[in-house]
Amino acid sequence: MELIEAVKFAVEKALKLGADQADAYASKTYENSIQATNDKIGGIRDRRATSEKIEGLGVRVAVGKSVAYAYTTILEEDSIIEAIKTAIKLAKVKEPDPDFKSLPSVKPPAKVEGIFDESIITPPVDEAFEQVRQVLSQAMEANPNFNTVISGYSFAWAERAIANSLGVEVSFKESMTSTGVYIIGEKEGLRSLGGKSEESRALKEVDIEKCAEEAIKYAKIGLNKAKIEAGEKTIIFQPEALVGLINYAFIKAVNAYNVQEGKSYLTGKLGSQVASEKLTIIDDGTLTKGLMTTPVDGEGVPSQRNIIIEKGVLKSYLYDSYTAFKDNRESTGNASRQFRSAVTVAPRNHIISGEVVKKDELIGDVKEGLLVRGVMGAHSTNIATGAFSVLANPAYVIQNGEIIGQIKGCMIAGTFQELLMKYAAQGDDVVQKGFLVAPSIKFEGVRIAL
Amino acid sequence: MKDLLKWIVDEGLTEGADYVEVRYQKFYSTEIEVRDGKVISATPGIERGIAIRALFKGGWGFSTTNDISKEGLRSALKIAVKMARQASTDTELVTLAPATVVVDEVEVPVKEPLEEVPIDEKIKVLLEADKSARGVAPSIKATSNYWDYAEEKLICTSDGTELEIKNSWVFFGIWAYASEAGLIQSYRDRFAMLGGFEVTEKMDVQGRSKRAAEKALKLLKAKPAPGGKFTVVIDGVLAGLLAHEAIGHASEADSVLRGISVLRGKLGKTVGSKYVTLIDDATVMGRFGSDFYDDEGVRAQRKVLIQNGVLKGYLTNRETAGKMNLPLTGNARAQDYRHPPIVRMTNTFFQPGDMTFEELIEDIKYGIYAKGGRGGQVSPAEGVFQFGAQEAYLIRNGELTEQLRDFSMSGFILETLKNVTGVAKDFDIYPSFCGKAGQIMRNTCGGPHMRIENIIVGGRA
Repeated sequence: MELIEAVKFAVEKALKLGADQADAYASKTYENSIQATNDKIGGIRDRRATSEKIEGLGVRVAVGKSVAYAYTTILEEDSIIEAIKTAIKLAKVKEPDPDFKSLPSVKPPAKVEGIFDESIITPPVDEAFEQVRQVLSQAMEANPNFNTVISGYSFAWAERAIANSLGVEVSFKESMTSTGVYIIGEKEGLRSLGGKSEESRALKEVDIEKCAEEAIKYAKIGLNKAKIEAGEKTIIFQPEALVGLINYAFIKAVNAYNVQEGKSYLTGKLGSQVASEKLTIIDDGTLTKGLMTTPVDGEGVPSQRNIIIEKGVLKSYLYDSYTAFKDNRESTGNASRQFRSAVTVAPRNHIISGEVVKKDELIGDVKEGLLVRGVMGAHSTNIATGAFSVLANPAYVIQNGEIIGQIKGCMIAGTFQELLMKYAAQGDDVVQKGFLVAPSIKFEGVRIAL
Repeated sequence: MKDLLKWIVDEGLTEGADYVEVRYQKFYSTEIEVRDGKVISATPGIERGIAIRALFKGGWGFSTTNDISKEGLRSALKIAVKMARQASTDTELVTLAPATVVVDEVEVPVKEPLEEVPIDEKIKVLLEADKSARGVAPSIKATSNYWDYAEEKLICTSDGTELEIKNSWVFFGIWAYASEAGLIQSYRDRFAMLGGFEVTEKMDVQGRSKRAAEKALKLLKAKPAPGGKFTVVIDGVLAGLLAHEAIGHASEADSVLRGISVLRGKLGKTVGSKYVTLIDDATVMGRFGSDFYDDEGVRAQRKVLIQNGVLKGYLTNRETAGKMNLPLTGNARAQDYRHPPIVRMTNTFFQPGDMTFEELIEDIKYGIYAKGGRGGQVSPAEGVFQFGAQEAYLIRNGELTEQLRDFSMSGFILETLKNVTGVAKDFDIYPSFCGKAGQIMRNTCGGPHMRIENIIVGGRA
C-alpha cells in the first residue's frame, strides 16, 4: 500500500472502530552505508557495506480524553486494523488525561526546499568505496605516527506520511548523505584522535577530502603534548563538541514536557535574561537544505521558525500540540515521531547566532585557552539544575593565538546557565551537526579542572 | 520459517558468497512511561524482520528488511551478496575462526509470558512505583519507565548451524526529583532481569522507587563537589562502570584489530595492579546480559580478561578470532534484526577481594567516596573515560563526612587500573544499555568497592 493511502485508511478505520480522534504516521526508510579501515599493521581491510529497508505505521487514537498508541511493520489492511484495535483497547483501560484537548487541526504545510535529492535512491557505492580507499591511503601517508584511519559513507532516504481525523494529509520524501574520516595516531605514548564528518541533504554536497584534511590537521596537532593550568579560561567549542552539550543541557531544558513538570532549570524563566545579550538561538524547521527541515512535524503541524532566545532573553520553549494546549498556545512544530513510539518534543534546525568574527581571529585573539572538539559525559547533565561536568576530549591548548598541542584529562564543570552567560563571540565557520547549526563558539572565564 | 532461512543460505552460496548467515527475529515489546501519576505513553508492538550477512573475498555485505515476503527475502539476499562483492578486495581475505556447528533450541525460562499479560497490569505496577516514590515527600516528582521484550530468534549459517532461541526480559527505570527553594536534585535507579512478567515480583519495584526518592531528597542537602585530583573509593556500581567503560570496551577485539584500542599489543602484559581481575560472563542464568549463544551461533562463555593485573584475553567474534588467532568467546551480539552482530560485552565485572569497606577508607586523609552511576563514556582509542556518580561523600581522616553533588570523574584507562590500591569483598551488579556503533545492547556491569589513587574529579566548588 502507498504510505499516504495507508495512513488515510488507518485514520478512517480508527474512527469506525470507536476512536473519537485518530492520527497515523507511516514511514519507509532506506539506507546504504559503507565503511573501511586502514591499519598500519594490516593495511586496508575491514571493508563492509550494509543496506537497510524498514517500513512501519503507527496509530494514535483518542477515546474521550484517553490517548493510546500502537504500531505495525506490515503495511496491509489486516495488520493495520489489528494495531488500531490494540490502541483502542488500551485507550479504554487507561485513565483519561484531563490535559488532552485535541489532536492538531489542519493547516497548510510549510513550503520547504532542498530536503530530497533523488540521486540518493541509487547510491554510487563502487565510486564511494574507491574514494574511501584513496582517502585511507593518503591519510595514512600523511604522518609516520598515524596508526589507523577509518572512513565511510552513508546514503539514506525516506518517504513519510501523516494523516489525522481533523483533515491533516501530508506526505513527503527526504534524503541525507554523510561521510567522515577518523585518524588515530600515537607518539611517545600520547594518543591522538583527529576526526571530521559532514552531513548533507544532497548526494554531492559532502566532501570526503575536506574531511580528511581536517582529520589530518587535528591528528597531527594532537601528537604534541601541551599544558595548561587549572582555573578560569577562554574556551572555544567546535560544533562537534557543542552538539552533545546543547542537546543534554539546553534542548532538554526548553522541552515543554520538562518545563511543565517543573523538571527544567528554565521553568518559569520566560522573558528573563538567561544568556549573554549577544546570543540569539532560533529553532527553524523550514531552513532550506536543513537536516531537520520538513514541511510538517511528526503530527502534521506546519514547520516553523521559532525564536528561543533573543539577545539573551528566553522567548519560547519547544512544544508539540499536547503541551501547547496545556499552555494555551500554538504548537511550535516540534513534535517528533517514529512509527514505533509516542510523540516527543525534539529540536529542528537549531541555529546559534551572535557576534560573528572570522574563525582565525576567534582563535587568534586567545592568549591562553582551549579549543574543544569533543566532550564526554554530556548525557549525565542534571537538567533540573543545569549542572554538567564533562571531559573535554579531544581538546587543544591555544597560546598567543596558536594551537600548540593536545591536553588530556581536562574537565569542564559548571551550570549551563553560567556557560550561556559567558558567551563571547562566534566564528564564521557555520556547519550543521545533527540538529545544531553553529560555528565555533567562544566562551570567556570557564572553569577547568585537571 | 526455518526452511525459508535454509533456502536463503543456499541461495546465497549459489550466488557465490563464501559465507552466509541469516537471522530471523520476531519480537513483542511494550514500553510504558508514567510521570507524576499520569500514564504518558504505553506502546505495545510486534515486529518481524530479517538480517542477512554475506562474506565475499574479504568484503562483508549486510542487508536488513522487515518485508519478509518471499520476494522481500530474495531481494534482501541479492542486496547482501551484491554489497559483499562491492566491499570485496584482493588484498585482505577474511578467515572466520572455525565454530562448532550446533543445532539447538534454547529458551529463557518464563512462567508468565509477557505477551499474555494484559497491559493494564503492567501499567498498574508502574503506577504503584510512581506512587511509592512520590509518597516520600510532597515535593517529589517522578518519571518511571517499564520496558519488556520477548523475542524468538532463528539463526542459520552456511556452516550448518541452526538455532532457535527464545529470550524474554523486563526492565524498570525510575527517576526521582526532589526540590527545595529553587534547587532540584535527582536520583535514578534501574533494575532488570531475564524472564517473564513473574520476575517483577522479585525486583522490589516499590521499595526501590521509594529509595530513589529518599536519595533525591537527601541530595538537596549536598554541596557541590570540589575539582582536582583525589583518592577515590567507588562502590560496586561505579566499579561496574569502570569495568565496562574504561576497560571492557578496550578489550573488544574489533577495536583492538582496527588499532583503536589502547590494549592492542598488551596481551600477557601487566595492565593493572594486582587487585584487578576482570571477568565477562554471559552464562549466569537470569542476569540481564546473559545469552545462550551469540548472534553468530557461538556458545556463550565465562572469560577472564584480566587476572591479577595481567591481560589474559580479548572479547572476540569469528572474524577477529580468525584474524588474530584468538579463542572464540561468543561475544558477537546484535541489537535486533536491523543490525549486524558486532563484538559486545555481556555481564562484565571485577572480582571481589578480601578487604572491608572500612579498611579501604581508613588511611585516606582527604578523598571522595562515590556511589551509583549516572552514565559514562569512553574513547578506547585515546584511552580516556568519564563517568558521573549519583552520590558522593568527602572522606576526611578515614571517615565519611559531608555529602557532595554533581560529581563526575575521569581518567586514563591504563593509569587508572594501575592505581587501584584496594578491593573490598562485597559485590554489586547493575543492568544497563550500552551503545556502540549505533546499536543498543542489554548488559550488566559490576564489582566490589575499589580504591583508586589520582582520579581527576570535575567538580566546580
